[in-house]
Amino acid sequence: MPVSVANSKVVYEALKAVDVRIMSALPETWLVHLLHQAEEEEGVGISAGAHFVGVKSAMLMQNHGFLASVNGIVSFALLYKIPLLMLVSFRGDLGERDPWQTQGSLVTLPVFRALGIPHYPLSDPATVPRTIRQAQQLAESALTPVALLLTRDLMWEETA
Amino acid sequence: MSGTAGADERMRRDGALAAVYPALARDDVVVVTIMGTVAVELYQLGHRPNFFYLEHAMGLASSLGLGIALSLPSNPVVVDGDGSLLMNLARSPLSPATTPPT
Repeated sequence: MPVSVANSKVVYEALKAVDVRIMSALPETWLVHLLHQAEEEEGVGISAGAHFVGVKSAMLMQNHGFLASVNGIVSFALLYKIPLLMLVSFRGDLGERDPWQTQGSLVTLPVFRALGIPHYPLSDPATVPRTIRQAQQLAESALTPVALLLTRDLMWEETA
Repeated sequence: MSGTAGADERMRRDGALAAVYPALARDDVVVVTIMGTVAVELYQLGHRPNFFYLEHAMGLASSLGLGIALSLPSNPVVVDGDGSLLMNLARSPLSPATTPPT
């Protein structure tokens, strides 16, 4: 399987290390080794509920899942200042082979900017634990959603 | 309510809320409602600190309840609205699948 098992495990262990106890996730190809949610917007409410009672959580989804959950992010996470840690697989960027993934990638970063949500790429497994820890810290201190983009460099192992 | 037969004799939302109010008015129960009429009616029955009325985020009261259920040893009570329910039909298969603690 070209999806990187090793780097999926790095992300998984990094989330465990910062005491993330609840993950909501909608599976897609890149995320098969990471997890299993019916609809992305749901995750905003789940994370808010966990936050209200003091439990750390994260959302895991594809960039199209992020686009689908924008109303929930605005109407709940931003309105109520929820420290939402989002891990977003960034499909359709450099090296993408599936034509259908490419339109979403062109609007993902502009939508993050429009919403005022800090967002950073995750490309190097060596920096994953530190960046996840820092993103969670920023989300909690700023009381805002923070997104980490799981790039192709991190999630995909090219076959020869 | 009048004594006329038919639809008028069905329980109305405010009557249903009044019926369950004693079960909600307890310190050991977290109650989440969606915004709108249901929130106003519960508030008017008597606000309590264990009541949270989710404003604006239609569809997500049940998701909020699920997040709380997954994080606490006891389950919350969610009072949703019909419109909110329709905006988040995906919640229905998800909630039992995640088997929150009872």
